[in-house]
Amino acid sequence: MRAVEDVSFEVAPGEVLGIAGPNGAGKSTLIAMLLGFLPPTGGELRIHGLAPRDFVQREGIAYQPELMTIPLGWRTEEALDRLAVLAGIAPAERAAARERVIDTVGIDEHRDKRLKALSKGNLQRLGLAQALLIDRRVVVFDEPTHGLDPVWTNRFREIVGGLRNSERAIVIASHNLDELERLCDRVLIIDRGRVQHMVIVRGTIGGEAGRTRRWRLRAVVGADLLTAQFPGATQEGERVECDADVPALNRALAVAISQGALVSAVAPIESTLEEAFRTAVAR
Amino acid sequence: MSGTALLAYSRWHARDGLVRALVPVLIFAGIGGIPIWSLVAQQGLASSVGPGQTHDSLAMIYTQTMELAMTLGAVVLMGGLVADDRERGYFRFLFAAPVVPWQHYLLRFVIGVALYSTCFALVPISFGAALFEVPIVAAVRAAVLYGFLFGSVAMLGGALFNRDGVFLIVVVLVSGMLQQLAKGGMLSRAATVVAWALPPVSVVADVRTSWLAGRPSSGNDLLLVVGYSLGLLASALWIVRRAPLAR
Repeated sequence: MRAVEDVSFEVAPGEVLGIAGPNGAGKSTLIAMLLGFLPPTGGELRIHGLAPRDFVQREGIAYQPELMTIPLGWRTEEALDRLAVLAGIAPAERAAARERVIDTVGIDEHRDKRLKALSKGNLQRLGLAQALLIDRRVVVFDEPTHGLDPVWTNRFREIVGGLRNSERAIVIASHNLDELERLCDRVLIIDRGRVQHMVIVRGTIGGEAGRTRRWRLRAVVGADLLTAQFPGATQEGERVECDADVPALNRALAVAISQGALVSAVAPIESTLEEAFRTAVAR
Repeated sequence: MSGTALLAYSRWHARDGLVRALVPVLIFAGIGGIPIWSLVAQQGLASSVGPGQTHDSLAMIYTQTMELAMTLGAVVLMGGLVADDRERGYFRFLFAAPVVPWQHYLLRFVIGVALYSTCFALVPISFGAALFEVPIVAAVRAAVLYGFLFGSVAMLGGALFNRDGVFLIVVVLVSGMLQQLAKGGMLSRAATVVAWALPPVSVVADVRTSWLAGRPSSGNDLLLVVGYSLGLLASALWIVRRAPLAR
C-alpha cells in the first residue's frame, strides 16, 4: 500500500506551509518522511540539500507531534531537561532554555507533575514547549492545536507568528482550515496520498478580488437597505447573505451605509481554503 | 549529536535502568533472601555458619537463586532497549533532535549491561557480608556475559520487529531446550546443526555455572558467547541504522 504518491512541493526559508487533508490522506506519512522516520520508496526528499535523516542528525528539526508519545512517568521539568540534552543545548544554557519555554507556554504550575497527571491541553503545550527549546531552521507542527482551548489556540498563533523569520521554514499539518488560513502562506491539500491542490492563502482576497463568492453580512440598523443592494440576497433579521465579487461588495456596502445602514459584520461564508479543500477532496 | 551531549544523556539512561531494575531486584531479593533467612534462623547466627550441611545448603540456595535471577533478570532488564521507543512512539521525540539512533541505543545497551552486572555484584557482596564469602568477580563476569548475550538478542528483536519481550523469551527457551537435547545426542544431525546455530544459551549457562562454582570455564565457550553476542549486537545496530524508524 502506498500512503503517499506523486507528491511534489517545495518550502522556502521564511515561508509557512500548511498541509491539509482528511483523515488517512497521508499527512502523517508525509511528516514522518520529512523527519526521516520513513524513507520514500521512490522520488527524492531534500532539506537544505540533505536527505531528511542526515539533516535531522546534523542540526535537528523542531517538531511537535500530534500525540504526546512520551513516557508518562516523566515529570514536566524532567522531560524538558532530557529533551534539552538531546537537542544539544549547552549545559550552561539548559536551565534558561527550559524556563523560557515553560514561561512561553504557561506550564509553570505543572513543572513537577508527572505527565500522566497533565490534561490533554497541557500535554499539548508541553509538546509545543519542547519544540521551542532551541532555534531550528526547520519547524514541523502536526495538529498543533489539537486539544488546546481557544485562549491557547490563539496564543499558539502568536507563537508561530513570532517564529516567522527569513531563515526558517515552518510546516503545519492540521485539520483546522481556519488555523491554516490564518498562519500559512500556502496550503497543500492532500487526499488519498496525492497532492490535490496548492492554495495560496496570503493575500487571497486581493488576488481573487474579481471572483464572485457568497458573503454573510450583518447590519444592526438597515439590514433591508443591504438586501436591496444585492439581487438575490436573502435576509433573516439582521443577517443578509448575498453573492458578489469584492468591488461590487464594497460599492453596495458604501451605498447602503450612505443610506443609513449600520454594518457590524462582513465575512465570506466559505473561505478560499475551505472551498478549495471541499472541491479537492470531493474529486 | 555531539559526544558530549550523548554522554550527558547517559545519566538519564542510567536512571531509567535503575527504575526498571528496582522491582526485579526486590523480587529476587525476596526469592533468595527468604529461604536463606529461614535457614539461618533455624540453624543459628550467620557468624556461626561454617563448613557443613547448613553451609552447603546456603551455598546451593545462593547459586540457584543467582542462576534463576540471571536468566529472568536479563529478560526483564535487558528487554525493551529499542522496542519500547518503537512500540510506544517515543522515538518521535528522541530522534527529531540531532541524535544518531544507533549510537543512542548502543549507549543505552552498554549502560544496561553495566547496571545489570552491578545488581549481580551487590548480591554476592551482601551475601558475603551476612554469611560467608562467595566469589564476587565471578558473579559479575557471569552477569556481564548474560547481559551481553540476552541484551543483544533483545536488541535484535526490537530492531527487527519493534517488540522484543516475546522474541527474547522464545529464543532463549527454544535455544536452551534444543541445545540441551543436542548435548544429549537426542536430535538428528540437521536439528543439531540448527540447535547450535541458535544463540548459545546453554553454553552461557555452563560458563556461568562454572564461574559461580569457582571453576574456570572453557575458553572456546567464552569465545563463542562473546562472538555470537557481538554479531547479534552489530546486526541489531545495523538494522537500526538502515531500517525506517517508523513502521
